[in-house]
Amino acid sequence: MTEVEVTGGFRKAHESQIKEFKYTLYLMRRSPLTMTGLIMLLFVVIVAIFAPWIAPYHPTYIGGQQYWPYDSSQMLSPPSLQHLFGTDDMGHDLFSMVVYGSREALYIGFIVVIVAMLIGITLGAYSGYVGGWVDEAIMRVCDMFFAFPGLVLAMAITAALGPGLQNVMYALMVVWWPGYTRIIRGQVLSVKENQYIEAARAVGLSRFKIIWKHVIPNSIPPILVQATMDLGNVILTAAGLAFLGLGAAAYTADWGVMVSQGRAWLLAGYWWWSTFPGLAIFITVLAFNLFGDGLRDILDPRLRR
Amino acid sequence: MKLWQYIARRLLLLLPVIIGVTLITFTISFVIPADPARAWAGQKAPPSVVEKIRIEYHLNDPVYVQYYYYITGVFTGNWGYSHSEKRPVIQCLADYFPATLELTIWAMAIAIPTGIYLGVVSAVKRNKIQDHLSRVFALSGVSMPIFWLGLLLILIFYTYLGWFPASGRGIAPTHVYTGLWILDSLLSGDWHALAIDVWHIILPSITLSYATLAVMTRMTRSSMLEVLRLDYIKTAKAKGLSKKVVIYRHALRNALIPTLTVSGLAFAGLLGGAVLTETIFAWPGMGRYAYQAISTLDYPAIMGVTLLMAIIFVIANLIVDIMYAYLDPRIKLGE
Amino acid sequence: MDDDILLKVEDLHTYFYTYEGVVKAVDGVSFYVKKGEVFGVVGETGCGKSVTALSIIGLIDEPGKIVSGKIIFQGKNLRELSEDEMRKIRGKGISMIFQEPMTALNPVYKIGDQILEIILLHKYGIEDIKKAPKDIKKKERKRVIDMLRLVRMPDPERAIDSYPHELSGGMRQRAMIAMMLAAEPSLLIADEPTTALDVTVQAQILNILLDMRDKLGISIILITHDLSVVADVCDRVAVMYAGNIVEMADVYTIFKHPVHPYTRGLMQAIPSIAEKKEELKYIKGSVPNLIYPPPGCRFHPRCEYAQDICKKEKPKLIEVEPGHYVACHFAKEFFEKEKESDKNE
Repeated sequence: MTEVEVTGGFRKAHESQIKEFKYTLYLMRRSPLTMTGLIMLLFVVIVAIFAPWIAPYHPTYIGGQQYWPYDSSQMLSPPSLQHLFGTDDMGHDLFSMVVYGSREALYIGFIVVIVAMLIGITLGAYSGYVGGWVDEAIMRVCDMFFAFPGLVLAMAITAALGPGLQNVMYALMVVWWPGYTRIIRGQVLSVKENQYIEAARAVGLSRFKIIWKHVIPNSIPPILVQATMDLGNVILTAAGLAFLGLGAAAYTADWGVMVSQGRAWLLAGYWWWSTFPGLAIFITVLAFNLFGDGLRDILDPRLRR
Repeated sequence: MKLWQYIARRLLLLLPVIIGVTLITFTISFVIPADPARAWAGQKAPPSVVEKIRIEYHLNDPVYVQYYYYITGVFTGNWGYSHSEKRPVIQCLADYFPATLELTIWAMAIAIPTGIYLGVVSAVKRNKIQDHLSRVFALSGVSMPIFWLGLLLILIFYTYLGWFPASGRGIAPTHVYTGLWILDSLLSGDWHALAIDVWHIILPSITLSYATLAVMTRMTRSSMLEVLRLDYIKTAKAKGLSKKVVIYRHALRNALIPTLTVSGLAFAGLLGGAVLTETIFAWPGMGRYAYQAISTLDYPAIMGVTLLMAIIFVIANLIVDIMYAYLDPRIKLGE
Repeated sequence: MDDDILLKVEDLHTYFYTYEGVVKAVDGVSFYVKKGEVFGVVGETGCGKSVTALSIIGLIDEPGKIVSGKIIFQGKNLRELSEDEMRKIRGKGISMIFQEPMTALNPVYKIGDQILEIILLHKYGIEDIKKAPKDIKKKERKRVIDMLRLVRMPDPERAIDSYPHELSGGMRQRAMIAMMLAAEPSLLIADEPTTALDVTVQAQILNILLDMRDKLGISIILITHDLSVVADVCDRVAVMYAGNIVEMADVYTIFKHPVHPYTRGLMQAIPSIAEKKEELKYIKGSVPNLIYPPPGCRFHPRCEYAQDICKKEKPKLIEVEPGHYVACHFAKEFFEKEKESDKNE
């Protein structure tokens, strides 16, 4: 068999998927909001990746703690060509800190969502597939978590563990896993009803293989939408915790911390300190939400045509 | 089944949920690294005093015994001692709760009608400019850090324009009946307090409402889109009804049912948002109490606020369920 | 023009503009409906029957659009009316009932209120039930009960205060008919009114429709894919195929002397108890894609008599005998043959 034939075979075998994928791309192009979200998202990711080249000043790390160069002659100076976003009360360049802050925001978002997703996929698939009292128990535990407003629960956990970035992330993982567990379980239950699972069982596929081959692929669209939106929500909540004084230390490149520190100076007219990091949070979260929202419309089979 | 029987049954079902909630708060308090006995006794207290407190508060007992004391405490109103306020947590919560309630009620009053209206417009003008605008507005609402929005409003309307005050609740009316100052000043006819208090609540309630408004807009839009495709909408049009009647009488009434469910969930965002909003506007509610507790490491206070907010949230969802049964004739109360 | 013609549709084209392309769902349809008759439109799923109906009542939604043609109802071209004028026609001039009685009634309002709504709207110009004066509501409530009785609703006093989910499918369809006739329209379009119902209930609903025609003197356009329904209740029939009418005549002629090969295929596909055959007959091939319909006669790929001309030229609807119209290049020949064989029998 020649290579051409192989690829031709692939094309043929997956013709309907390729068609669906092309249609998805078409819908995406036709939706200006989704495209805007995607472009903003790419922008934030590029800033995060190239932060050391974009930012004029760079932090040094001593014992895991971030230290920024400062210029005491430039304390609280308004935005200028030298300091695009102005400086804080020690003379740190806020532009550099905002640029570096994108790395931390994305880091928190991705780690928390991925860990929550892994816990959710494992527990949800197990719960839905096994059923019975295991399912009941896992779902009741999820309900217990759903009884709390997310930010409040995260606040309590972080406060108990002590302030700091690591603890914020642990708290957010605890808050976020039940959502994924519930989605995956629902998917498993609906797929379990399908006849091809019966068929798969009849030919003797193991449980693990059935979940892996049939349940997981079917769950990708709703999980993808949820994860995209959650990336934004996690970043937003983490910023809220940082604002309450539960996040990173003062004078580090953390958007929430920066808004919190700048707040005291805001009323005195030093508007830039809080404004720019807040804007960065807003743009990043909005990008995830625009993209996720569009994705949901596009992947929703009921709204597709 | 009668409505009150349904409500009674749902209230009974509330009990296991609240026990579940206490399980979580208890676990969290257990994780707290600080020694609670030391915290109560103060840093300079001799070890013998600390030990005495330890025994008095059952801190040497096994976990399940401690949980027993914890949960009986929760149900008997013994929620611990708030050392930042030097009085029991439950008293502080009783004082701060009305302020938070008042703020959330106002935020809901802004968010729900506006959100529903924007959602309807968005759905009816799907993919037109109105739809894009209201979607961007809604998505901005769920994306905007609430504390940042508050700060921007303060910057514009207080620092630069000086139109609204930026902190506090205003002044207490001559008679306080409910703790909701605006209602109280109406009841006691204290127009001076009324004006001042309304003045003070405008910026915080707008700040707090935006995210909820956004959630309502999005939910209304998607459930309206769903409903507008259904056969009975075609029937309504075939009857010769005007677009307005078809949309508001026939479609919206049905679309509101799922929207309502979400508004119960959105209440969680409102409570979380209240912590941040109260912090920014120095609004003397539970949220600001929690913020101060964080900075003074007043753990019983933090856990108390957490527990109370969870209970409020659970009750809010119960109310939503009851309204749901009322709005949708297909729902049998027996289920 | 004939005085007894209520509705005349001329060269109607309704297209849907979708991602895949323009779906020519209705492509040059012409027919007329006389006063007091039941006019059947029959064809396979997706042949454009329902789109024709929705075009008449002006409820084609995006991405669909009436591209050209005339819809003349009581002497007025409905396509030239404004939306407000059209609304006065809907419900009062032309009413429509839909296939799914389960979903066609609003689940959150009582049956009585839904019927009252259309009466108040067209009789008093009141759009909001809540704003209607009490005495009018009381008076019209009696009329609602009368309407329900007319459609033989069991226990109408109870049904009036029921929600749709409390009624059976047949009862809902009765309520639907009562509602759509409450404002005394002159034309009722019934889009597959019995498809979703049990066979026994189907017959009852069809009888009620015939009854309404006799008592109220309305015309009915009955859209169906079921030839037995057509045989039971229709006076005249149009057979649709892929967005075109291929044959139109009175019901006796259609069943006894079908001319178009598609109609003949349909007739042969009806299983008959009298002559037991080895296997059921069916029309070979499948319904064409309406984005790229076959050129010429749309039926030619499935037609066993197809010639070159069929692939190139679209046949016009011609009158082979008074009141009998056929769209086929060989209509005359087939018609003669059919007559010959009839004589021989």
